[in-house]
Amino acid sequence: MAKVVVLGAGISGHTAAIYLRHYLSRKHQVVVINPTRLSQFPPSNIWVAIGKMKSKHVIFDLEKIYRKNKIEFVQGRALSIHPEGDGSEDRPFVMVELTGEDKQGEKINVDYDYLINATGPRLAFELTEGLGPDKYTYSVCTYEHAEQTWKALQEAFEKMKNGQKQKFVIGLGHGSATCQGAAFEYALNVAYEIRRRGLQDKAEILWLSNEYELGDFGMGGAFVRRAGYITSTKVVTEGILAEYGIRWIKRAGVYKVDERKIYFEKLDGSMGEVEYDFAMLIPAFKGAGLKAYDKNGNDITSKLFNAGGFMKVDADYSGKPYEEWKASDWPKYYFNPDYNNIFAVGIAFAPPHPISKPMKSPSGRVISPAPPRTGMPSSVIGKTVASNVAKSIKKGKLVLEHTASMAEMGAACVVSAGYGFFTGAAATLTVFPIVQDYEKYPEWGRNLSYTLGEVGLAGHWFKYMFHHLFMYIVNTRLLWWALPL
Amino acid sequence: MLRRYKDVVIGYKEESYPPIPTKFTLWLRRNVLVQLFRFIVINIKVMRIVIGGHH
Repeated sequence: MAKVVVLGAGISGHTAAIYLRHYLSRKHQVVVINPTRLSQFPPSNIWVAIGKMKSKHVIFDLEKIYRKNKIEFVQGRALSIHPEGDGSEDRPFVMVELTGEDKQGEKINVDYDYLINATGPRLAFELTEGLGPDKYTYSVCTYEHAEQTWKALQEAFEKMKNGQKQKFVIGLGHGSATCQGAAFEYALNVAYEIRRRGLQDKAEILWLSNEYELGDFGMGGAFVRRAGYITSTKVVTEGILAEYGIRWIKRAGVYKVDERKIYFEKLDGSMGEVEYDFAMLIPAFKGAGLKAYDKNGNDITSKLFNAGGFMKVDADYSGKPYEEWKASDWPKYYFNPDYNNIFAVGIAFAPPHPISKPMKSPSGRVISPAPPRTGMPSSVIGKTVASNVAKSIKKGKLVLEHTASMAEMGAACVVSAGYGFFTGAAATLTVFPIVQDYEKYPEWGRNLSYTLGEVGLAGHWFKYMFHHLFMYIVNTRLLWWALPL
Repeated sequence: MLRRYKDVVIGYKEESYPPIPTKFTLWLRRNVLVQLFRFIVINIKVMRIVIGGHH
């Protein structure tokens, strides 16, 4: 009998857990540790933040799903990993602080044979002074944040109805923040809702981004076939913003927000500031901050995690310059090279380097996006690792049959505005692979027959369908495992 | 959707020269039959991506 512990039940961790249960017989234990009883589908938080969905439509009850699937659930926060055990315990374990109402603060050790770290990002609002829902700006990163943002947006709409002009600033709240797609989608939705209410004359909307060029999206942009040309996503993105009446500032690293203004440094070293009435800015992401200790209690955190708190896996962390980056730098199996029974999936794994070219201002401020690992790649990686772990358990030794390199997988980013079946539109961007592979695709770094960028109702329908498909899978409804993931 | 172009497309600024869809393009984006076809295309492309993404 083997015991697999999954830390975190976001897209990646939950996917890994339900597939593990599907692959493994009941004699093996699957345990999920998550600080909250509810988890969410973050891409749909955008709809919560514009009032088109309620939180209940984007969350799922882990306890209920795990009870149904015979997965053990521990409501708690992992504090440290002990991959060699300690003086009194030979087996590897994770120290967990319980967060459930009845046992809050109690610490327990959960032992494991295989550990999957899917702790996701810590939203590092503190890296930008004044950023975050507890301070001056809003966020769509969690459903709670999205609810709060929707409330503030309604207040802004009311002010505009009363004749007051409002300035909306939407984008990235740190020089190295990623998840441009979510912020971009929110900007379009805000513009759409303002127009739908006939309030456009009272609104000014600004897209504020750390990208070198719009359409970079943290993956170095992309090229798509469009109207007889091979066109950069820069052009596509600028066209969409213009259509929605949104102005933009790019190459900006936000470093401070106060109650009236947002302050940023541009890549050329110039300093800028914009006034705002409503701001939704995505923060930088950090790792969950787990510690690691060896058998003797020595701190080995730096052996398992990089400086940002993300777990090291089978990637090339040599720190080579941008010109020497290769697709093969990216991990395929997501296991820790020092402890092969520990895996990291989703945002929890440490990327070897960004995808976009790293840029710094003359003052040394990093102003270029971190690599995105959310959404589709997260679930694919979760499923692949679950498959390898299950095979390893069945064979009694480490078996790495399946791969899910971000340099070998594609992704779809659907930025949808509006909500009705015949109203609204979506910009659909698919890329293959996510990380450019110039050895395989020397011209464009990607396979252009899989890469598309278009605007229309179709993408809107796709996003709606994808939301329901995902919710169907995560709730493990009838034959969920037969659906594509 | 287009009424703000006159405000956005102002020369000699960073954000000055975006591509602007024609009326025909806008019609194509909203035409249910055309979009149904595009929906199928997007689904096929995404399916190929998902299936080809892990080995």
